[in-house]
Amino acid sequence: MGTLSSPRRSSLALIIGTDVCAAIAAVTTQPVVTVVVGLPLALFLPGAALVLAVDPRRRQVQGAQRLMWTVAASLGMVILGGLLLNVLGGLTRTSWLLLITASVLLQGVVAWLRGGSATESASGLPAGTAEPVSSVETEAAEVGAAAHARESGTSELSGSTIQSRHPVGIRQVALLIAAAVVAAGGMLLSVSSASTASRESFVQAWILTQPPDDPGSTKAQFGITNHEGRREQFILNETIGLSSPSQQVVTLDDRQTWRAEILRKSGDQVVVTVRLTSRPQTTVATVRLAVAARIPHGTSGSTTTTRPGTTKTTTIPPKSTVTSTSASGATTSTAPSH
Amino acid sequence: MRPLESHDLVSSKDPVEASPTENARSGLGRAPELALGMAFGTLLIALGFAASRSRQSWASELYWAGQVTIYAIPAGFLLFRRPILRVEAVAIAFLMPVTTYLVLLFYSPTRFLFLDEFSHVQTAQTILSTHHLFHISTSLAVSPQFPGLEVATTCVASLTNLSITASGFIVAGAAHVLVGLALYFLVSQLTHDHRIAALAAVIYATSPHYQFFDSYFIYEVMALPFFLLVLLGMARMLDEKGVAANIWAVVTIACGAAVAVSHHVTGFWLVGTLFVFCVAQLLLPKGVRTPRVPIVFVAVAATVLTWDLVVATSTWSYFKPVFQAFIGGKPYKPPRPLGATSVITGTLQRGPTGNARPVDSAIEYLSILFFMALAPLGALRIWRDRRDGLRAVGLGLAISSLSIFAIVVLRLGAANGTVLAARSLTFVIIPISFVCAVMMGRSWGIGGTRVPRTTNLARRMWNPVTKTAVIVVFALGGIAGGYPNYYSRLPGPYLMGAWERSIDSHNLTAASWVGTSLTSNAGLASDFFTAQTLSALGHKYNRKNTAGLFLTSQFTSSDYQLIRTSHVRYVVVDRRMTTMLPNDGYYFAADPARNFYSKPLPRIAIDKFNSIPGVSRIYDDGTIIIYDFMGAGHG
Repeated sequence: MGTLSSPRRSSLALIIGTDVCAAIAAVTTQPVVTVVVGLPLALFLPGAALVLAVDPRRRQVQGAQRLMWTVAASLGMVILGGLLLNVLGGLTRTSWLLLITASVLLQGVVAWLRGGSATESASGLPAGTAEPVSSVETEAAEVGAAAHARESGTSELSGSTIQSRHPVGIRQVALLIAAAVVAAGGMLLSVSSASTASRESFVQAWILTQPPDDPGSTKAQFGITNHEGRREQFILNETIGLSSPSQQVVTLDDRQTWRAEILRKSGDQVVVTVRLTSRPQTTVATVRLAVAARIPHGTSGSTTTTRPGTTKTTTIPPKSTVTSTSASGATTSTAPSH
Repeated sequence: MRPLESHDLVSSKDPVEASPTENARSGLGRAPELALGMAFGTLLIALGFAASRSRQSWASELYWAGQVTIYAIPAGFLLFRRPILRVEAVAIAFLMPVTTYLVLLFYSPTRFLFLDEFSHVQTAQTILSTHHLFHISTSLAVSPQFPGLEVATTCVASLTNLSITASGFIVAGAAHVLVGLALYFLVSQLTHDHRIAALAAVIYATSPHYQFFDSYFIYEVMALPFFLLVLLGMARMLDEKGVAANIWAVVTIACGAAVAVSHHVTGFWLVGTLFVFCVAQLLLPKGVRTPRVPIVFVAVAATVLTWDLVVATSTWSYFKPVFQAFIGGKPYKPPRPLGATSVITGTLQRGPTGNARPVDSAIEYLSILFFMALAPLGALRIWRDRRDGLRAVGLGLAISSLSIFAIVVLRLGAANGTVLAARSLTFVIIPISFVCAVMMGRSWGIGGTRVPRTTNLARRMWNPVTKTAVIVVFALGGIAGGYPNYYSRLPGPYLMGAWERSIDSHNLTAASWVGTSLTSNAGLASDFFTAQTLSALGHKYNRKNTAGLFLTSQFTSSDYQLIRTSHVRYVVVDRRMTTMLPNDGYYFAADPARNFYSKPLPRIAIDKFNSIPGVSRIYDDGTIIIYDFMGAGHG
């Protein structure tokens, strides 16, 4: 490694870094690790390899501008790579990993070939073109590059500006940290106020024939989701056809969903109303299956299935009573209504 | 281009020469102080937003104080401080987009809020589910045909397992920061003066759509940085010779290709800008002309046109109504309703909504007046340098800056001029920020470069205080004339017809339910905002020109006919139509009573759907109700 030129060291580091990130991304299931290795794979490494391949000796772009071109090149490569993957088979996680790894490898090889060895760099190349290997050389090379650039009109050291050559002080680091803390405070405040102050409280209710595209089906699914922001008890009144309504009480945690299958006779209208036990006079939602224009024959028996997670599915025969416990432990009880 | 007499600025006799104390400023100069000051400005805005969500009356004052802070600090620093470090200039170019993007995040930290974003979310969702591009969009047909933003977003989502929203925030944020930096390096390349370059970045950040629209999850966001990188690449190309110039030409064309696949208007604007560069080159001495400029122009134009004609075949149909309205010269006015059952009766009078506030218009016009004054002066100044190292990009941008006058004519004269002008400013302010920065940066205060033929009074008046105030006016005018509109400038509870304030949990959860529960992608009819949201996030076709369904007291045979001919299966009602006036002046797309609503719709207009035979009320959350017309023989 000691005899390698800086471009070759950089290209080697990029190839190894990309391979390591891709390997970790391929096997890890940890969300934080996935983000940590995934972001550079998408937004940094492909562009860094491309910029290094095009400009291995940092003659064209340096510093912040090089970083800008790196991110831009990554985005550009991802966009054009996406078009390529669309033709080659698809934009999947695996294909992205393969494409990025292959492109970085290819560009790393180009950078390696164009970078030359340290010996080559030290001998006979014009001032400002050899890649410096120490801080003193770096400064000298940048000054040389600046002189060259000024001649060609590409200087970054002219105008009413001064080139800083001093290290970052503790006070500056402290101020930057303070700025980050202030910005983070603004974000926390925004997240908090957005999630609480302007939150809407309501309950979703729906009813759909099964299948939804058959308006005459005798099977239907009714469901509610609690968006009240707290655990709530709901009173469900169900009327099928001309029969008297039945009532059911369901307790749901916030954002919990409850589903029930409803069976109706041919051509029956189904109406379900939802009220809160805390405000029983107010109907918060009403859903209705209209009398079907086309009514298929047959009525099947009841079945009960429970879906994982926070969703319950229950079959309610007409005018029946059901007692069950929701997935989160909330008690669900029903009582016939007359 | 001549390096703008930079030797004058740092000559030994010059008062702005760097003192030993200044030279001793450590690594980051005053950049940390700048960062802290601008972060404090964003905190004021966050406090204003939080207060607005809690309906505090003083929220607006905090918001404006924060906005003034994040523009005045960098502008004042650049205009008052004598020598500046390069790192300070770069820091300002970096901090401007970062702080303005924070403002957007503070407005809506956890979800997208702008309607157009949802169309691109649908495109991204479909890419993730099908693993392929160029599908059919039920919301915005042209979106999947310019997939640059969505490809990058889904790549991030695939590799990080983040949501589309989180990935979109990251990608759009990166693109937004790239815009600021690319403009900085472009102007730096043209002027070799980092103060002017940083000033240009600050001035561009004052454009009307910079904070929100140009940072939203919409396809233009991905095209904008590449647009600027094309200009930067071309500037670098013109400053190089031989192989290096050729490499920059290739880089420029590649960036042009990224624009072509990302956004139609940006592509067209890029072709136009490159054409201006070709023309500008003809005005320069022969010694600085190069065939690479027309070659790059032809290559980029061919790429843009090929993409639009071969791949993005919906582009023409997307722009057709805009052209028709533009050529027709009259605002689009749909036929008025609606027969004997119309709920809009009597003599129509212009309603209280749909108009800009006079104070907003005043400050917006003031900022445009300043632009109109500075742009020709800056362009003239650059023109005078044409025989002294000026290149095609610099002169081309100076010429392009004069398009501000065309924008004003467009705004005043065209039927849809307000929207077209506001959208165009995103591009027009790029050259304007360059020439304005030259005007402000080159003739600043004492010891700056010469300001020929100016009186002492004018010189005294054109001082750093005035210039900082002008930049603040630019910023306030941009905010007043851009998105969000005044009624939704601060976040808060739902408002009808108010864009960002018209998206809430009701329509988002309804859209999610529609997307997962209604398997058919049949058409739906609703008010503009609900229809757009459910169409995009619920993957259903939005049937426009169905306002008549909601503007009658009875459901008649003509309504049946409208349902049938428009292929509507689902009618979605937002009950808030009966309690709120639309802030933007209309409830529906192609609303026949646009700007003429003086009271909300009567309840009967929406309650009539409850008693139509065969029509099921399949969804109700107390606010949004969905009716299924399948049982009535439709859909």
